[in-house]
Amino acid sequence: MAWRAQFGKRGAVYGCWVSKPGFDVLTCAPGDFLVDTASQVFQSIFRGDSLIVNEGQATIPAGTYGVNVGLPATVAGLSNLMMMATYYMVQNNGAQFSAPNISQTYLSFRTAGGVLFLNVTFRANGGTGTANVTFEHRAAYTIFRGQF
Amino acid sequence: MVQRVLRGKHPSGAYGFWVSKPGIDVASATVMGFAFSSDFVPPVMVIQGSTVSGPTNGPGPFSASGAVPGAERTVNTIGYGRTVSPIPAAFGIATAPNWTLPLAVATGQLGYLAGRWHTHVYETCDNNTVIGEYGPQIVKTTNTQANQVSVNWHSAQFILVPYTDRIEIITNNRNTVSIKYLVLENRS
Amino acid sequence: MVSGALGGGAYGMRVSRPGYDVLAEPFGSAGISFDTRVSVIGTVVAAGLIQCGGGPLSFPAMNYVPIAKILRWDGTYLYDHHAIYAAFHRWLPAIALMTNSSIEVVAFTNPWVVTTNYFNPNGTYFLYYVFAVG
Repeated sequence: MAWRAQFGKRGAVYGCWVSKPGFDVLTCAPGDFLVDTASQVFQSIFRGDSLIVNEGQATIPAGTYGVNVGLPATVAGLSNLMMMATYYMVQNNGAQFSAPNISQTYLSFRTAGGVLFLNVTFRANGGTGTANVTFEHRAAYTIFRGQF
Repeated sequence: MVQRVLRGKHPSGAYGFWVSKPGIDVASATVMGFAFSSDFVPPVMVIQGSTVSGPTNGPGPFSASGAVPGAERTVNTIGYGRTVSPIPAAFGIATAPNWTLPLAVATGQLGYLAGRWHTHVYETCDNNTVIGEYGPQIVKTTNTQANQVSVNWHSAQFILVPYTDRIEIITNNRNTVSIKYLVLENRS
Repeated sequence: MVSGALGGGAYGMRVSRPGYDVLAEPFGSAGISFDTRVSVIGTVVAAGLIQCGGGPLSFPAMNYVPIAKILRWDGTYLYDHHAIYAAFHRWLPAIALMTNSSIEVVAFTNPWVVTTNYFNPNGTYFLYYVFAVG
Protein backbone atom coordinates (compact mmCIF):
# COMPACT_ATOMS: atom_id res chain seq x y z
CA MET A 1 0.00 0.00 0.00
CA ALA A 2 1.36 3.41 -0.97
CA TRP A 3 1.88 6.20 1.54
CA ARG A 4 -0.66 8.91 0.73
CA ALA A 5 -0.08 11.80 3.14
CA GLN A 6 3.07 13.57 4.25
CA PHE A 7 3.35 16.34 6.81
CA GLY A 8 6.52 18.19 7.65
CA LYS A 9 9.72 18.51 5.67
CA ARG A 10 9.92 17.34 2.07
CA GLY A 11 13.32 18.04 0.67
CA ALA A 12 14.04 21.59 1.77
CA VAL A 13 10.40 22.64 2.09
CA TYR A 14 7.91 22.28 4.93
CA GLY A 15 4.25 21.66 4.21
CA CYS A 16 1.59 19.08 3.58
CA TRP A 17 1.28 16.71 0.65
CA VAL A 18 -1.38 14.20 -0.28
CA SER A 19 -0.96 12.06 -3.35
CA LYS A 20 -3.63 10.93 -5.79
CA PRO A 21 -4.99 7.42 -5.25
CA GLY A 22 -2.44 4.83 -6.29
CA PHE A 23 0.55 7.15 -6.04
CA ASP A 24 3.18 7.06 -3.27
CA VAL A 25 3.38 10.53 -1.74
CA LEU A 26 7.06 10.04 -0.93
CA THR A 27 8.11 9.46 -4.53
CA CYS A 28 5.42 10.78 -6.83
CA ALA A 29 6.04 13.53 -9.34
CA PRO A 30 4.50 16.99 -9.49
CA GLY A 31 1.02 16.71 -10.91
CA ASP A 32 0.34 13.47 -9.02
CA PHE A 33 -0.72 15.24 -5.83
CA LEU A 34 -4.19 16.11 -4.61
CA VAL A 35 -2.69 18.60 -2.20
CA ASP A 36 0.73 20.17 -2.58
CA THR A 37 1.08 23.13 -0.27
CA ALA A 38 4.42 23.96 -1.83
CA SER A 39 2.68 24.95 -5.07
CA GLN A 40 -0.93 26.02 -5.55
CA VAL A 41 -4.00 24.53 -3.93
CA PHE A 42 -6.83 26.12 -5.80
CA GLN A 43 -9.78 26.45 -3.49
CA SER A 44 -13.03 28.21 -4.17
CA ILE A 45 -13.87 31.12 -1.90
CA PHE A 46 -16.97 32.27 -3.72
CA ARG A 47 -19.20 30.99 -6.48
CA GLY A 48 -22.14 32.58 -8.19
CA ASP A 49 -24.31 32.93 -11.24
CA SER A 50 -25.35 36.38 -12.44
CA LEU A 51 -27.63 37.83 -15.09
CA ILE A 52 -25.73 40.45 -17.07
CA VAL A 53 -28.15 41.52 -19.78
CA ASN A 54 -31.58 40.41 -20.93
CA GLU A 55 -31.92 40.29 -24.72
CA GLY A 56 -35.49 40.58 -25.90
CA GLN A 57 -37.34 41.72 -28.97
CA ALA A 58 -36.10 45.31 -28.76
CA THR A 59 -32.82 46.30 -30.33
CA ILE A 60 -29.83 46.38 -28.01
CA PRO A 61 -27.29 48.89 -29.31
CA ALA A 62 -23.76 47.67 -29.82
CA GLY A 63 -21.70 48.28 -26.73
CA THR A 64 -20.80 46.91 -23.34
CA TYR A 65 -23.27 46.03 -20.59
CA GLY A 66 -22.22 45.07 -17.10
CA VAL A 67 -23.16 44.13 -13.57
CA ASN A 68 -21.23 44.30 -10.30
CA VAL A 69 -21.20 41.56 -7.68
CA GLY A 70 -20.02 42.19 -4.14
CA LEU A 71 -17.60 39.53 -2.92
CA PRO A 72 -17.43 38.09 0.61
CA ALA A 73 -15.82 40.00 3.43
CA THR A 74 -12.93 37.52 3.40
CA VAL A 75 -11.68 39.17 0.19
CA ALA A 76 -12.80 42.71 0.97
CA GLY A 77 -10.66 45.21 -0.83
CA LEU A 78 -8.74 42.59 -2.81
CA SER A 79 -8.18 42.80 -6.57
CA ASN A 80 -7.01 40.58 -9.40
CA LEU A 81 -8.35 37.39 -7.85
CA MET A 82 -7.85 34.18 -9.77
CA MET A 83 -11.16 33.02 -11.15
CA MET A 84 -13.01 31.22 -13.90
CA ALA A 85 -16.21 32.37 -15.57
CA THR A 86 -18.50 30.54 -17.96
CA TYR A 87 -20.51 32.72 -20.30
CA TYR A 88 -23.83 31.15 -21.18
CA MET A 89 -27.37 32.00 -22.24
CA VAL A 90 -30.78 30.90 -21.06
CA GLN A 91 -33.66 31.10 -23.48
CA ASN A 92 -37.13 31.95 -22.21
CA ASN A 93 -38.08 28.27 -22.66
CA GLY A 94 -35.47 27.36 -20.05
CA ALA A 95 -32.88 25.91 -22.43
CA GLN A 96 -29.29 26.62 -21.41
CA PHE A 97 -26.44 26.71 -23.86
CA SER A 98 -22.95 28.07 -23.98
CA ALA A 99 -22.75 31.47 -25.48
CA PRO A 100 -20.94 30.64 -28.69
CA ASN A 101 -17.22 30.65 -28.17
CA ILE A 102 -16.85 32.84 -31.19
CA SER A 103 -19.80 35.12 -31.55
CA GLN A 104 -21.11 38.63 -31.82
CA THR A 105 -21.06 38.90 -28.03
CA TYR A 106 -18.29 38.14 -25.58
CA LEU A 107 -17.64 38.22 -21.85
CA SER A 108 -15.00 40.14 -19.96
CA PHE A 109 -14.55 40.26 -16.20
CA ARG A 110 -12.33 41.49 -13.39
CA THR A 111 -12.16 41.76 -9.63
CA ALA A 112 -11.17 45.00 -7.97
CA GLY A 113 -11.60 46.26 -4.43
CA GLY A 114 -13.59 43.20 -3.40
CA VAL A 115 -16.06 43.57 -6.28
CA LEU A 116 -16.56 41.31 -9.31
CA PHE A 117 -17.29 43.16 -12.54
CA LEU A 118 -18.97 41.18 -15.36
CA ASN A 119 -19.41 42.65 -18.83
CA VAL A 120 -21.04 41.43 -22.02
CA THR A 121 -20.04 43.31 -25.17
CA PHE A 122 -22.23 43.35 -28.27
CA ARG A 123 -20.02 43.82 -31.36
CA ALA A 124 -23.13 44.73 -33.35
CA ASN A 125 -26.72 45.59 -32.44
CA GLY A 126 -28.48 42.79 -30.56
CA GLY A 127 -32.10 41.92 -29.98
CA THR A 128 -34.06 38.83 -30.95
CA GLY A 129 -36.57 40.76 -33.04
CA THR A 130 -39.23 38.31 -31.89
CA ALA A 131 -41.79 39.01 -29.21
CA ASN A 132 -41.74 35.60 -27.57
CA VAL A 133 -38.00 34.88 -27.69
CA THR A 134 -35.63 36.23 -25.07
CA PHE A 135 -32.13 35.32 -24.00
CA GLU A 136 -30.56 35.93 -20.62
CA HIS A 137 -26.84 36.56 -21.01
CA ARG A 138 -25.35 35.11 -17.85
CA ALA A 139 -22.05 34.17 -16.30
CA ALA A 140 -21.39 31.39 -13.81
CA TYR A 141 -18.15 31.96 -11.94
CA THR A 142 -15.83 30.66 -9.29
CA ILE A 143 -13.42 32.92 -7.42
CA PHE A 144 -10.32 31.06 -6.25
CA ARG A 145 -8.14 31.74 -3.26
CA GLY A 146 -5.29 33.29 -5.22
CA GLN A 147 -4.23 36.56 -6.77
CA PHE A 148 -2.24 37.53 -9.82
CA MET B 1 9.95 29.64 13.14
CA VAL B 2 6.25 30.20 12.58
CA GLN B 3 3.61 27.56 13.09
CA ARG B 4 2.54 26.26 9.64
CA VAL B 5 0.00 23.50 10.31
CA LEU B 6 -3.06 23.60 12.54
CA ARG B 7 -5.48 20.73 13.05
CA GLY B 8 -8.34 21.21 15.43
CA LYS B 9 -9.58 24.47 16.87
CA HIS B 10 -8.38 27.66 15.20
CA PRO B 11 -8.02 30.81 17.34
CA SER B 12 -10.98 32.14 15.39
CA GLY B 13 -13.09 29.42 17.00
CA ALA B 14 -13.57 27.29 13.90
CA TYR B 15 -12.56 23.65 13.78
CA GLY B 16 -10.71 22.27 10.80
CA PHE B 17 -7.36 21.87 9.14
CA TRP B 18 -5.12 24.67 7.89
CA VAL B 19 -1.66 24.96 6.35
CA SER B 20 -0.18 28.42 5.91
CA LYS B 21 2.22 29.58 3.23
CA PRO B 22 5.92 29.69 4.14
CA GLY B 23 6.77 32.44 6.57
CA ILE B 24 3.16 33.02 7.63
CA ASP B 25 1.80 31.99 11.05
CA VAL B 26 -1.17 29.69 10.51
CA ALA B 27 -2.96 31.10 13.57
CA SER B 28 -3.04 34.65 12.20
CA ALA B 29 -3.05 34.06 8.46
CA THR B 30 -5.70 35.76 6.34
CA VAL B 31 -7.45 34.13 3.44
CA MET B 32 -4.57 34.56 0.97
CA GLY B 33 -2.02 33.45 3.54
CA PHE B 34 -3.12 29.83 3.53
CA ALA B 35 -1.73 27.12 1.31
CA PHE B 36 -4.73 25.02 2.32
CA SER B 37 -7.82 25.77 4.36
CA SER B 38 -10.67 23.45 5.21
CA ASP B 39 -12.96 26.48 5.14
CA PHE B 40 -13.07 26.18 1.37
CA VAL B 41 -13.57 23.52 -1.28
CA PRO B 42 -11.56 22.82 -4.41
CA PRO B 43 -13.15 23.03 -7.83
CA VAL B 44 -15.56 20.14 -8.29
CA MET B 45 -14.78 17.92 -11.24
CA VAL B 46 -17.59 16.94 -13.59
CA ILE B 47 -15.67 14.78 -16.04
CA GLN B 48 -12.08 14.34 -17.09
CA GLY B 49 -10.44 12.18 -19.73
CA SER B 50 -8.95 11.92 -23.17
CA THR B 51 -10.27 11.15 -26.62
CA VAL B 52 -9.43 11.38 -30.31
CA SER B 53 -11.24 13.26 -33.05
CA GLY B 54 -10.95 11.93 -36.59
CA PRO B 55 -11.45 13.93 -39.79
CA THR B 56 -14.88 14.35 -41.34
CA ASN B 57 -15.16 14.65 -45.09
CA GLY B 58 -16.65 17.78 -46.60
CA PRO B 59 -16.80 19.64 -49.91
CA GLY B 60 -13.68 21.38 -51.19
CA PRO B 61 -13.20 24.02 -53.86
CA PHE B 62 -14.07 22.88 -57.38
CA SER B 63 -15.27 19.59 -56.01
CA ALA B 64 -18.80 18.70 -55.05
CA SER B 65 -17.79 15.21 -53.95
CA GLY B 66 -17.65 16.10 -50.31
CA ALA B 67 -14.63 13.87 -49.91
CA VAL B 68 -12.07 16.29 -48.48
CA PRO B 69 -11.05 15.14 -44.97
CA GLY B 70 -11.34 17.86 -42.37
CA ALA B 71 -13.34 20.19 -44.62
CA GLU B 72 -16.38 19.44 -42.48
CA ARG B 73 -16.17 19.77 -38.72
CA THR B 74 -16.10 16.76 -36.42
CA VAL B 75 -18.23 17.06 -33.30
CA ASN B 76 -17.40 14.70 -30.45
CA THR B 77 -20.04 14.52 -27.74
CA ILE B 78 -19.13 13.32 -24.25
CA GLY B 79 -21.93 13.10 -21.68
CA TYR B 80 -21.55 13.93 -18.01
CA GLY B 81 -23.96 11.23 -16.89
CA ARG B 82 -25.86 13.90 -14.98
CA THR B 83 -27.18 17.43 -15.39
CA VAL B 84 -25.04 20.30 -14.18
CA SER B 85 -26.55 23.72 -13.75
CA PRO B 86 -25.35 26.33 -14.43
CA ILE B 87 -23.20 25.27 -17.34
CA PRO B 88 -19.74 24.22 -16.10
CA ALA B 89 -16.35 25.38 -17.30
CA ALA B 90 -14.47 23.24 -19.84
CA PHE B 91 -10.72 23.09 -20.36
CA GLY B 92 -8.66 21.09 -22.79
CA ILE B 93 -5.56 20.70 -24.90
CA ALA B 94 -5.05 18.96 -28.23
CA THR B 95 -2.31 17.75 -30.51
CA ALA B 96 -2.21 16.59 -34.13
CA PRO B 97 0.65 15.56 -36.45
CA ASN B 98 -0.01 18.70 -38.45
CA TRP B 99 -2.74 21.22 -39.22
CA THR B 100 -2.65 21.09 -43.01
CA LEU B 101 -5.28 23.29 -44.55
CA PRO B 102 -8.44 21.23 -45.14
CA LEU B 103 -9.11 22.11 -48.76
CA ALA B 104 -8.95 20.14 -52.00
CA VAL B 105 -5.63 21.87 -52.48
CA ALA B 106 -3.86 21.05 -49.20
CA THR B 107 -1.65 24.09 -49.00
CA GLY B 108 -0.36 25.91 -45.99
CA GLN B 109 0.06 24.39 -42.56
CA LEU B 110 0.53 25.75 -39.07
CA GLY B 111 3.95 24.20 -38.57
CA TYR B 112 4.45 25.63 -35.08
CA LEU B 113 1.50 23.55 -33.85
CA ALA B 114 2.55 20.27 -35.46
CA GLY B 115 2.98 17.60 -32.83
CA ARG B 116 2.57 20.10 -29.97
CA TRP B 117 -0.05 20.04 -27.24
CA HIS B 118 -1.92 23.36 -27.27
CA THR B 119 -5.06 25.16 -26.16
CA HIS B 120 -7.94 26.25 -28.37
CA VAL B 121 -7.33 27.16 -31.98
CA TYR B 122 -9.96 28.66 -34.22
CA GLU B 123 -9.62 30.29 -37.61
CA THR B 124 -12.19 30.65 -40.34
CA CYS B 125 -13.64 33.16 -42.76
CA ASP B 126 -17.05 34.78 -42.98
CA ASN B 127 -19.95 32.95 -44.57
CA ASN B 128 -21.21 33.88 -48.05
CA THR B 129 -18.08 35.91 -48.86
CA VAL B 130 -15.72 34.87 -51.66
CA ILE B 131 -12.30 34.46 -50.04
CA GLY B 132 -9.05 33.91 -51.88
CA GLU B 133 -6.48 34.14 -49.09
CA TYR B 134 -6.29 30.40 -48.54
CA GLY B 135 -5.11 29.81 -52.12
CA PRO B 136 -8.08 28.71 -54.16
CA GLN B 137 -11.13 30.94 -53.97
CA ILE B 138 -13.70 29.56 -51.58
CA VAL B 139 -17.02 30.64 -50.17
CA LYS B 140 -18.64 29.16 -47.09
CA THR B 141 -22.18 28.44 -48.10
CA THR B 142 -25.02 26.01 -47.81
CA ASN B 143 -25.53 26.16 -51.57
CA THR B 144 -23.77 23.93 -54.04
CA GLN B 145 -21.27 25.93 -56.03
CA ALA B 146 -18.03 25.14 -57.78
CA ASN B 147 -15.93 26.84 -55.10
CA GLN B 148 -18.03 26.01 -52.09
CA VAL B 149 -17.05 24.75 -48.68
CA SER B 150 -19.31 23.99 -45.74
CA VAL B 151 -20.44 26.73 -43.40
CA ASN B 152 -18.60 24.67 -40.76
CA TRP B 153 -15.28 24.86 -42.61
CA HIS B 154 -12.32 26.13 -40.59
CA SER B 155 -8.67 26.28 -41.57
CA ALA B 156 -7.98 24.95 -38.10
CA GLN B 157 -10.35 24.30 -35.24
CA PHE B 158 -10.14 22.78 -31.78
CA ILE B 159 -12.62 24.10 -29.25
CA LEU B 160 -14.63 22.70 -26.34
CA VAL B 161 -18.24 23.76 -25.85
CA PRO B 162 -19.86 22.80 -22.54
CA TYR B 163 -23.58 22.23 -22.03
CA THR B 164 -25.55 21.25 -18.96
CA ASP B 165 -25.33 17.53 -19.69
CA ARG B 166 -22.46 17.10 -22.12
CA ILE B 167 -19.42 18.60 -23.71
CA GLU B 168 -18.85 18.96 -27.42
CA ILE B 169 -15.28 18.88 -28.70
CA ILE B 170 -15.14 20.29 -32.21
CA THR B 171 -12.25 19.92 -34.65
CA ASN B 172 -11.37 20.60 -38.29
CA ASN B 173 -8.24 18.72 -39.28
CA ARG B 174 -7.14 16.39 -42.06
CA ASN B 175 -5.59 14.15 -39.39
CA THR B 176 -6.77 12.60 -36.14
CA VAL B 177 -6.54 15.01 -33.23
CA SER B 178 -5.72 13.74 -29.72
CA ILE B 179 -7.47 15.62 -26.93
CA LYS B 180 -7.39 15.83 -23.14
CA TYR B 181 -10.33 17.48 -21.39
CA LEU B 182 -11.43 18.61 -17.93
CA VAL B 183 -14.81 20.02 -16.90
CA LEU B 184 -15.17 21.84 -13.57
CA GLU B 185 -18.39 22.85 -11.91
CA ASN B 186 -19.31 26.43 -10.98
CA ARG B 187 -21.43 25.16 -8.12
CA SER B 188 -22.78 27.59 -5.56
CA MET C 1 -11.57 15.87 10.08
CA VAL C 2 -11.02 12.13 9.97
CA SER C 3 -7.95 10.19 8.99
CA GLY C 4 -8.05 6.44 8.80
CA ALA C 5 -10.98 4.27 7.76
CA LEU C 6 -13.44 6.18 5.61
CA GLY C 7 -15.93 3.39 5.14
CA GLY C 8 -16.38 0.90 2.37
CA GLY C 9 -12.93 -0.48 3.02
CA ALA C 10 -11.20 2.76 2.02
CA TYR C 11 -8.55 4.46 4.11
CA GLY C 12 -7.55 8.06 3.80
CA MET C 13 -8.26 11.55 5.03
CA ARG C 14 -11.38 13.64 4.90
CA VAL C 15 -11.94 17.22 5.97
CA SER C 16 -15.30 18.97 6.13
CA ARG C 17 -16.17 22.63 5.81
CA PRO C 18 -17.45 24.58 8.79
CA GLY C 19 -20.93 23.45 9.76
CA TYR C 20 -20.71 20.06 8.04
CA ASP C 21 -20.24 16.69 9.76
CA VAL C 22 -17.30 14.94 8.15
CA LEU C 23 -18.76 11.54 9.05
CA ALA C 24 -22.27 12.24 7.79
CA GLU C 25 -21.71 13.98 4.47
CA PRO C 26 -22.02 11.71 1.41
CA PHE C 27 -19.18 11.19 -0.99
CA GLY C 28 -18.98 14.17 -3.35
CA SER C 29 -20.77 16.51 -0.96
CA ALA C 30 -20.18 20.23 -1.27
CA GLY C 31 -19.68 20.20 2.48
CA ILE C 32 -16.43 18.31 2.16
CA SER C 33 -13.30 20.37 1.65
CA PHE C 34 -11.06 17.46 0.92
CA ASP C 35 -11.33 13.69 0.42
CA THR C 36 -8.36 11.55 -0.56
CA ARG C 37 -10.66 9.14 -2.42
CA VAL C 38 -11.18 11.77 -5.09
CA SER C 39 -8.56 11.42 -7.79
CA VAL C 40 -9.07 14.77 -9.49
CA ILE C 41 -10.00 17.93 -7.67
CA GLY C 42 -8.90 20.56 -10.15
CA THR C 43 -5.65 21.19 -8.36
CA VAL C 44 -3.53 23.78 -10.09
CA VAL C 45 0.22 23.20 -10.20
CA ALA C 46 1.07 26.58 -11.63
CA ALA C 47 -0.80 29.82 -12.19
CA GLY C 48 -0.03 33.45 -12.83
CA LEU C 49 0.66 35.85 -15.65
CA ILE C 50 2.62 34.99 -18.76
CA GLN C 51 3.55 37.26 -21.63
CA CYS C 52 2.60 36.30 -25.17
CA GLY C 53 5.76 35.96 -27.18
CA GLY C 54 7.86 36.00 -24.03
CA GLY C 55 9.10 32.45 -24.32
CA PRO C 56 8.28 29.37 -22.25
CA LEU C 57 7.66 29.48 -18.51
CA SER C 58 8.75 26.39 -16.60
CA PHE C 59 7.04 24.43 -13.84
CA PRO C 60 8.19 21.22 -12.11
CA ALA C 61 8.31 18.36 -14.61
CA MET C 62 5.25 16.13 -14.54
CA ASN C 63 4.64 12.63 -15.83
CA TYR C 64 2.18 13.94 -18.40
CA VAL C 65 1.45 17.05 -20.44
CA PRO C 66 -1.09 18.89 -18.30
CA ILE C 67 -4.27 20.67 -19.31
CA ALA C 68 -4.00 24.44 -19.23
CA LYS C 69 -6.20 27.48 -19.64
CA ILE C 70 -5.28 31.00 -20.71
CA LEU C 71 -7.28 34.21 -20.49
CA ARG C 72 -6.14 37.44 -22.07
CA TRP C 73 -5.59 40.30 -19.60
CA ASP C 74 -5.52 43.84 -20.87
CA GLY C 75 -4.34 45.18 -17.54
CA THR C 76 -7.87 45.64 -16.29
CA TYR C 77 -10.18 42.98 -17.70
CA LEU C 78 -9.86 39.27 -18.39
CA TYR C 79 -11.18 37.95 -21.71
CA ASP C 80 -12.09 34.35 -22.45
CA HIS C 81 -12.41 33.12 -26.04
CA HIS C 82 -12.43 36.63 -27.37
CA ALA C 83 -12.06 36.23 -31.12
CA ILE C 84 -10.69 38.88 -33.43
CA TYR C 85 -12.94 39.81 -36.33
CA ALA C 86 -11.06 41.42 -39.24
CA ALA C 87 -10.52 41.12 -43.00
CA PHE C 88 -13.56 38.84 -43.34
CA HIS C 89 -11.84 36.35 -41.01
CA ARG C 90 -12.10 35.52 -37.34
CA TRP C 91 -9.57 33.88 -35.05
CA LEU C 92 -8.46 33.41 -31.48
CA PRO C 93 -5.40 35.63 -31.15
CA ALA C 94 -3.15 33.45 -28.98
CA ILE C 95 -2.45 29.82 -28.16
CA ALA C 96 -0.72 28.19 -25.20
CA LEU C 97 1.82 25.51 -26.16
CA MET C 98 2.27 22.88 -23.48
CA THR C 99 4.96 20.41 -22.51
CA ASN C 100 5.21 18.38 -19.33
CA SER C 101 7.31 21.14 -17.80
CA SER C 102 6.49 24.41 -19.54
CA ILE C 103 3.82 26.68 -20.93
CA GLU C 104 4.39 29.17 -23.70
CA VAL C 105 1.85 31.59 -25.17
CA VAL C 106 2.33 32.50 -28.82
CA ALA C 107 0.38 34.60 -31.27
CA PHE C 108 -1.83 32.71 -33.69
CA THR C 109 -0.29 33.26 -37.13
CA ASN C 110 -0.94 31.66 -40.51
CA PRO C 111 0.08 32.04 -44.16
CA TRP C 112 -3.20 33.48 -45.35
CA VAL C 113 -4.00 36.41 -43.03
CA VAL C 114 -1.38 38.56 -41.32
CA THR C 115 -3.24 38.35 -38.02
CA THR C 116 -0.87 40.59 -36.09
CA ASN C 117 -1.62 43.49 -38.43
CA TYR C 118 -5.14 43.55 -37.00
CA PHE C 119 -4.46 42.53 -33.41
CA ASN C 120 -0.96 41.82 -32.12
CA PRO C 121 -1.08 39.90 -28.84
CA ASN C 122 2.71 39.84 -28.49
CA GLY C 123 3.62 41.59 -25.28
CA THR C 124 0.12 41.13 -23.88
CA TYR C 125 -0.19 39.25 -20.61
CA PHE C 126 -2.31 36.15 -20.21
CA LEU C 127 -3.54 34.68 -16.95
CA TYR C 128 -2.75 30.98 -17.04
CA TYR C 129 -3.74 27.92 -15.03
CA VAL C 130 -1.92 24.61 -15.34
CA PHE C 131 -4.03 21.82 -13.87
CA ALA C 132 -2.73 18.65 -12.22
CA VAL C 133 -4.73 16.76 -14.82
CA GLY C 134 -3.66 15.31 -18.14
